[in-house]
Amino acid sequence: MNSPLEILFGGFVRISQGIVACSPTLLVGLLTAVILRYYLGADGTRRLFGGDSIKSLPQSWLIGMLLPVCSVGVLPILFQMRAARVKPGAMTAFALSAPLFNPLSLLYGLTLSRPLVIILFAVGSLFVVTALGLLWDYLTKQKEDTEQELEVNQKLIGLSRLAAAFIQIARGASGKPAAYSLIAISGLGLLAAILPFGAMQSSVEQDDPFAPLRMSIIAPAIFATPMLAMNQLGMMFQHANSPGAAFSLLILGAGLNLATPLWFGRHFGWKETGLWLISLLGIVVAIAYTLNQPLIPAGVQPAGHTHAFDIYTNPLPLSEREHWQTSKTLLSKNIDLPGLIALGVLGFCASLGVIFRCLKIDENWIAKRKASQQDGSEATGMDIIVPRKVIGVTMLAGLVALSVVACYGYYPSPGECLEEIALARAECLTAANSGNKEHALFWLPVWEEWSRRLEVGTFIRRGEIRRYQSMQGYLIRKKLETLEHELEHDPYEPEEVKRAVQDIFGTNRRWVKSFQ
Amino acid sequence: MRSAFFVVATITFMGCGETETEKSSYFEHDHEIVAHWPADLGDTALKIRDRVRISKMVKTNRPTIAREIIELVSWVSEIAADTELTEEQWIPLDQISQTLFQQLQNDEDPLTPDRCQQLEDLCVQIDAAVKTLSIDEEIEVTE
Repeated sequence: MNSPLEILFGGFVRISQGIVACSPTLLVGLLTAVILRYYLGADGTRRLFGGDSIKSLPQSWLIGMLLPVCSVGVLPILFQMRAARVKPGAMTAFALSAPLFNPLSLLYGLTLSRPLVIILFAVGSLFVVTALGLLWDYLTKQKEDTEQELEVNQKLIGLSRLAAAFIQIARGASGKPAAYSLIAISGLGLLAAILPFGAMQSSVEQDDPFAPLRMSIIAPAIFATPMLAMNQLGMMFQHANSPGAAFSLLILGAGLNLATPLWFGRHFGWKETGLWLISLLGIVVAIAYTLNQPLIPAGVQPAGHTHAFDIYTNPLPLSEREHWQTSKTLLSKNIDLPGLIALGVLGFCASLGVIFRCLKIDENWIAKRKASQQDGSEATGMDIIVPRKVIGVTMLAGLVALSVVACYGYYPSPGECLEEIALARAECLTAANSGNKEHALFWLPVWEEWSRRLEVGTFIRRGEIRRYQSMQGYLIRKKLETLEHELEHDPYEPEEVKRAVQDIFGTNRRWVKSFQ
Repeated sequence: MRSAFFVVATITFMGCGETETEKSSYFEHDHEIVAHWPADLGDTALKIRDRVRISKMVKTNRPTIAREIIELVSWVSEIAADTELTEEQWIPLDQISQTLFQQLQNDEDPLTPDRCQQLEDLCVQIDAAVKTLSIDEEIEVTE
């Protein structure tokens, strides 16, 4: 059991990490929401998500797959979908599917040892969201939604519309979407309170019949970005953990958080949401058990444990006494720069949002000012008014195109990756050989991550990864993990570390050569 | 409701955290390595041949022997990739072992005379690859 101090500090660390992790996609979610609101409008949004026909479910699933958002970034979009009177089934389909995959994570997933599994998981998610969407549409048929249909002032055009959009983002960053996001992230704090350090290292083994069920119970409280979830799936397959548990983690961990059912419950009824949630759990558990045996990778040795889920348990070891110091170290180690930048932008928007709220500045205020300035005159001459739907569709397409372009930025060319790898390798192995294990442990995951990026970067540029390249990549990661274990071994054994380092040299040479 | 949640949580995680209490290492359990994991590529052929020979002599314990043979065949690609074989030398070994692995997995009895012959053919290929490695090593030493 965790002590109260461990719960306090562990929860603080996990929630802080979660806030930083969700910031980039929450910003994307807020941006997407204002595009729906000010550019596509209610009618365009309904059409985007398939209107009233049955195709709304797979269409919402597809849009969800393309947009780079996580389960927190989905929340502000849900607000706008409801305001636009999108079918409730399409809303659940989008809410569940958008956080599962995005172009970045899908590419990452396809380079894992068994890409077929990722494709099967994507098809499985389509089945889940379609079944649940139909159920949700049926359950909410009788329900009268009291929300006023979205009506944006038509006078908002050009700069004034941009200003209104920015104000809406700022108000969202300091309003309900932010509050729901905090509720979503609080699930990580809850898990850190319940689960002691390392509690999930051996609870998802492939021969454990309760592994999928156990994961399904924990997963709704988990917040995981699509990349993190994909990374964890990779680790699970590398360690030959339960594939059923991996499926549950993807659908319920990445797809759901504590805030999503809460939001549906508030707006569509608690009984209906309860039924929906139970059905979701039932379907996921059923699919997880169906997939579990057939997807067990043949020939892969079960590692007997995994560290993939250490990030959902309390980060403070039970023997640890320096809680504050350890918490600070953990935070400084695990928080990445893009997340911090996004958090800064979000913080800036939220501060402005508070000011706007205090000064009662909103879109109506902008529209009134615009009306008084124009004094009834209409735009003429070269100032063509482009239909807002054209701008909206262009912006959404741009967002999707941007995420595809981002793939090339995030997964650079093999040459660039190899340069980064050379740097990480030199730092890691020199530190390991000289006994500086902290330094080695910092650079080891960097090296491991670049090994994945190298594969994706090669795949998207050359159209293939040769089997020999994949095998060498698998071997280097396997040996890096052995080195990680030796570095973390208590008591520290320098000779074992040196042996692990020696073992890496040959593999590294062959691996690098195969990509040159 | 709250107490029910804690009961479920306790039952679910009972045994996960308790045993960790006194351990301070982050990675206290090393990867388990199965007993029949080969020491090197040559040892893989040796282990496959041993098991095929035993299966012909002893009629008991065939499922375990068959499972171990299938696993050994599935590891050939990985073990061969961890040697100084070039990509061109590795590809035929990978293809033969993976094809045989798929066939063995689908077999009701993976130890028929035909399959045993295919396993022997694979071992011959492995021996040839090992021989290439030894020659390369000798050349390196001479140089």
